Amino acid sequence: MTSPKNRTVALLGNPNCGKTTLFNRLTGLRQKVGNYPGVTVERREGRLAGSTGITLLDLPGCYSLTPKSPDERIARDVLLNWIPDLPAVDAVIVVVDASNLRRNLFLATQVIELGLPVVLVCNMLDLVASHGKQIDLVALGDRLGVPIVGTVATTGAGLDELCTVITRCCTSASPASLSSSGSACSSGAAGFSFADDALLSVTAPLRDALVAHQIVPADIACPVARMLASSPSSDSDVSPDHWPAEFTLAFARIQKQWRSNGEHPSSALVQARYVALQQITGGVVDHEPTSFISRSDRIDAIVTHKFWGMAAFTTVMLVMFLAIFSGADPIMGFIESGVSWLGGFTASVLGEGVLTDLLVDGVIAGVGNIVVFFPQICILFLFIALLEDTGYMARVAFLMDRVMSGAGLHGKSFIPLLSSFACAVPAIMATRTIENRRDRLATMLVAPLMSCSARLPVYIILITILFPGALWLKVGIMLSMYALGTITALAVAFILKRTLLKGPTPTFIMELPPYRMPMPGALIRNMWDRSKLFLTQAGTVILALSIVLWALAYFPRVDAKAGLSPGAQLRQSYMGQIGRGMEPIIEPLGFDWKIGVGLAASFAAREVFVSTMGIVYGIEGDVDESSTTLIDAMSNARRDDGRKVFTPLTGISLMVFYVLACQCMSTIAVVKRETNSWRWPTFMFAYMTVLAYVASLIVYQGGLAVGFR
Amino acid sequence: MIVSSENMPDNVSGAASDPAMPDPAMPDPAMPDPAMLDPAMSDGSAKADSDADNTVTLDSLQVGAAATVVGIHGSDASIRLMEMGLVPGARINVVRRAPLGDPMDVFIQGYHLSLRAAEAHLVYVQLTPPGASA
Ligand SMILES: Nc1nc2c(ncn2[C@@H]2O[C@H](COP(=O)(O)OP(=O)(O)O)[C@@H](O)[C@H]2O)c(=O)[nH]1
Repeated sequence: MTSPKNRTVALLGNPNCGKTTLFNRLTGLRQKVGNYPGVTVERREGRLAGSTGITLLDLPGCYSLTPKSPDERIARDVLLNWIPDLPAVDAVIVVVDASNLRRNLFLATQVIELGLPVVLVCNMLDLVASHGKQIDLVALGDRLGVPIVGTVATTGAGLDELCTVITRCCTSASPASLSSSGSACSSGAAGFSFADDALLSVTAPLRDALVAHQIVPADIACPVARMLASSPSSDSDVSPDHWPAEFTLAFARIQKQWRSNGEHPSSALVQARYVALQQITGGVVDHEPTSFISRSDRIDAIVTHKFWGMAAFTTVMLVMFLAIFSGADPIMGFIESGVSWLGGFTASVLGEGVLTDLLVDGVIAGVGNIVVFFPQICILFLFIALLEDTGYMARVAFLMDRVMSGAGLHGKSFIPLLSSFACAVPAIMATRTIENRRDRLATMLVAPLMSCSARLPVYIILITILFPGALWLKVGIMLSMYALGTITALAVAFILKRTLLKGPTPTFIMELPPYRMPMPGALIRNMWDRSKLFLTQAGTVILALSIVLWALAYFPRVDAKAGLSPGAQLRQSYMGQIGRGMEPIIEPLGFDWKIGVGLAASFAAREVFVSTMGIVYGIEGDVDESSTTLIDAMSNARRDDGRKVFTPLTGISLMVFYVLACQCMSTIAVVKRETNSWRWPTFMFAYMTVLAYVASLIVYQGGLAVGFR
Repeated sequence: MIVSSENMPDNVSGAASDPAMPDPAMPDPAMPDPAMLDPAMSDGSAKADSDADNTVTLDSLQVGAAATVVGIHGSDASIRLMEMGLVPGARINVVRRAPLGDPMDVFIQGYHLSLRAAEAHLVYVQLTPPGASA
């Protein structure tokens, strides 16, 4: 047997260095995607193609091992074996973008200092060559003291050699050899020295604590202590959960020193590392990148231009929405008919009975309600992947940061909020690119306020019933509903960032990567991975809740021989009881119990409101005999005292409620998943419900007061 | 050495003679500790003009300006800024500002970085006179 068994090799690198492309090449299609325990940081692993027992673990992209975000923390924690249930890594492949060597090597030298066996991958050599440059890989490898392989991940050049080097590295290294080469305090493994007396003395207590608590082996305690010293200690997002008490003390001392002289003790270290890198790269690259007038820059001159940039941006966003709404249409119709066919087929095979009703009306219809949105979600994810892989996503953040920072958010919040006009679920998943936890939470919590496509049928039916005629009025009301959601979302974000999610001002230090031609295969794969996550993870919660909602509408059964119509059954079901129980509460908003049933049923998915109204009104005795369509039934519906149920005022009040209320179990499921607790989804549900209630109350009572009916 | 006066913000004194030792009486509370500006710390290749005082903060530079980083004011963002390559001695070009004025796009260590004016304000730079080779 030539290949070693059960070795884990981590893949690490700066964002945009080509790590994902390389990972996909090295592992082929045999990948597992999941999460790290306790956090929603994506965990990808796969078997190294052609090996028997080498697992590649793709770590989140990061710039440094002193983490500034949960993603970067994971990278550090994996390397230091601080994550329970995860095997220690046996070697690390550090991928660097050869066209931007120095900054990329910053991270590489940090890893080398930890003494783990490192294989350095110099990727994007084609770009270097196209600039007419060359990199002396042998000299670079010698200076850093690690094996080095040059690759072009997009074409696969150099990957065979890389596989050989990885296998050799795994064969020779003993397992779990954190620090086999060992790095003493004064000099790193690569032979560059960062001895700085001030830093050494200030980090000594940290180092001692690390050793005393056996958090890391003694021989690497020094570099780890230095690394920790520059982490923002107060931020629980990036520090391990259970620091020993000495750590807190040591951190407090470092902070104090920093505050007193204005200089962070670690800044000397960062600086020294760059000086060392200057020496290491000196003569290795035949000349430095000095010109920023590249193809990318010429694109940027247009794309971030005051006028053309904004025009291009608007066009891109419009195309995206056109594709989401019109492109998904035929497939959505196809899915809808597929779902009803499946329902009919199941019913005909099983015959009548509770089980059939459960399967057809609960499971199939319930899941169908959500799956109809799957094409839209796929298209949205495809666009997000496209924006990311071309490099345009960073420009969107660059263009929109000023607008978003007004609401206390980040430029990167823009795309998630915009995506929310299609569906809040992928929008919430897309917030993962926001590093700062508070910004990310704020974005997630307000995203469902943007009017998603499931609200559209509700708006349409209400507007059609209530405002026949005048097209401008219809359009105006529709746009007002979208505006109401958007303005409220920004206002709530503003308030959240000043109250619950208050924290140090987040930074906007973001690389603007060069524009690149995306690879279709990578795009499809990216889209599919995320869409699948939606189906499998949110899907299970949705399935469970669909069954619960079905049961509420189905039970208790009355004697079937009485031949109750579906409407009468719904009326006396738990759902109907909930609707009637809600009546006194929703009465001040202008709603009767039937609307209450619609609201309760809408929790499955908002567009269910329309079909529920159909069932409820299908049986109304006071409905005019000649009115056969739902629209007629609803517009003619009357209260006990003979007043119309759906007056324009009730309609507006109801629409406002739909704009603001959190009636979407998929959203709640995905927020639960992304935040890993019930706290935030509960909070979201509560604040949105209160907001919706109060706003509708103001609209209805205010409307009554000024004489509307 | 040509220093265009519109690149000089009001709060930076033009009188101090040594860029490495800003006038301690300077009113700007955000001035870094003098140790931060110690030229000995900076990378050997950076030839700081010790006879010119043109130390300003990065946010005050105009689009197209070229400068050399001399120091970073200590704050939550300072370590990340340095890790991204804004270390003393590094050359920096202001490439553009976003259409709404903020953030800005700078060219540093061979790549483009965007940062808000608030963060750029932490970065002390020394203007490279126009025409000096990069
Ligand atoms: N020219 C060139 N482009 C590459 C190479 N490797 C990756 N890319 C492209 O660089 C972009 C970013 O790659 P990706 O793998 O997503 O980077 P990650 O952020 O590090 O995971 C994609 O558009 C890739 O197609 C390479 O060796 N040469």
